[in-house]
Amino acid sequence: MLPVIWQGIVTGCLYSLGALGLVMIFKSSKMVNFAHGALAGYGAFSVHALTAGGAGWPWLAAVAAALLGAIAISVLVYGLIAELLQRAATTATIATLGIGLIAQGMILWQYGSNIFRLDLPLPHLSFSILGMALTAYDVAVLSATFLVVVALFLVIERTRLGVAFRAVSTDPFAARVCGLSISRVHLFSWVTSSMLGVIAALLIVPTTFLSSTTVTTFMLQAFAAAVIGGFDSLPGSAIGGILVGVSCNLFSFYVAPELLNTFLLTFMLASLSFFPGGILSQRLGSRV
Amino acid sequence: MFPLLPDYALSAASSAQYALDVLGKDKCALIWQNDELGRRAKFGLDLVLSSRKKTILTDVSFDVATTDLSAQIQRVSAAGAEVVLLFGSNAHLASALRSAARISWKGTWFAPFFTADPSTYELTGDLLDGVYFSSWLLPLDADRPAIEAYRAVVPKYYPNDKLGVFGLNGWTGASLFAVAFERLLSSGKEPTRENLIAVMNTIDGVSAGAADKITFTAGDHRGTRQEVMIRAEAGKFRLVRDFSPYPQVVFDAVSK
Repeated sequence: MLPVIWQGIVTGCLYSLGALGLVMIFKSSKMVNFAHGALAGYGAFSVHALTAGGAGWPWLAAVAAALLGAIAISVLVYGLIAELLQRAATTATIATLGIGLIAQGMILWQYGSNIFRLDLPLPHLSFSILGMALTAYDVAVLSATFLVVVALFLVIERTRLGVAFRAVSTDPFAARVCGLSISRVHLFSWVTSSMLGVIAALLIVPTTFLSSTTVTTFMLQAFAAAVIGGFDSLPGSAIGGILVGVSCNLFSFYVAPELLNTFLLTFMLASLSFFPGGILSQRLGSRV
Repeated sequence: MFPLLPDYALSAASSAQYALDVLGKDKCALIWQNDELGRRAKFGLDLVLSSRKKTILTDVSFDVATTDLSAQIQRVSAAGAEVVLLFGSNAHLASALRSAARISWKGTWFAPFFTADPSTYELTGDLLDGVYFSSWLLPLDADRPAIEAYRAVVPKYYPNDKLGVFGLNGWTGASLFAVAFERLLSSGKEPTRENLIAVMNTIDGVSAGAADKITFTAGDHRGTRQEVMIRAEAGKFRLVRDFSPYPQVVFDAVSK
């Protein structure tokens, strides 16, 4: 059972990274970005095009360029939906479905429907601990997730922008009254989310390979992680990702992998029934 | 209709027969795509193993949209499989090989003929080395004149197209048509639909394109009756066994 749980933790870390990107935007603006997977996939395709795809850039330079590209696209997308967001978060959420389709169309237009290989520049290392096989890829996923979570925590807890983000997340009206720029905070969350998306996509594709749909499909599980962990909680979504990864792996191994989607939906429903605000939610009183 | 593409039940059965008789391995597991491709493979494997008083060690399916086969690999690894037949796309094969490498599982792999393609190597790298493919087509690298012609013609007329198994599949179908049409013309009969069908029904043991011993009779249109065994080695697809008839029990069952 230990190897199955271990693999689940590694996959769960990937879900966590995807979920963190979704939650960043939801916390600041109460909208869900359904384009997250497609935009992240576009970033991964950019890295492929700049490296193995023919341009021959060094991997780190390609990743830096993809991150800059993702930031530029996120600014553009936010610019497009900012006005919709002022009217209603639901309208902006629906708009992201369209943006996701456009991003997917752009991928198909530029790169076609082929499947590509995009590995991390890691040595072929493999060792065994307690009967579990560990690879350089596993270590890279765990390390990257840890570093991202720590960096996110430091930015949100220790910087003025992070304080503003927390203020807007808690009470946007009070934050605006205090003179905080809501748009600036929204932009911060979109930029951070886009970077998290590209990092997650680069870690995902070595196992799933890169196609116009793989990252989007993977982000559906990240969406489940965000729901289970709580769309309003960054630590919750990180834990939710690992919970989803481990439980899905256990279910696939002991029950039936072909029923995985059914299991995931049941898990989400059960989680929402018992923890409507996510597994780390606090039961708050309400004013009457 | 005069089909050449054989039922996947036959390919799965041929793979199992090779694993049992040549490699001497009988703990066979199956990872199958849960559609007609995988279902037919399961049917053929079940049938050939039961004819040898054996059973599938374990089988586990996956949906065509699945991109990560880690759970399936954990299952066949835990079951103690020596041989795994994977019936899915080349992306599924690549994902399975990657997952197996992650848990250091080492076994013998068999995959369908269409995955014996350079595009699979592009996805897997050297993880593909050692994988077997039971195929009704000779490998793309084979030195048969008809295959050399395919390799020469495609870059000349379709410079943007890659050489691959699907192209060779079409080339073989067209080659068979050319054989039949030449026979019709040399017979002196009118080139009508009925006459062409009549000629096609006399095709017996013909080599066309990358296939061999193609046979059609008026009541039996199972054109392909034999398969070769190909092994991926150092970026190439090498023929390790020449054309050999399908296991009779499955060949008979497929016609019913």
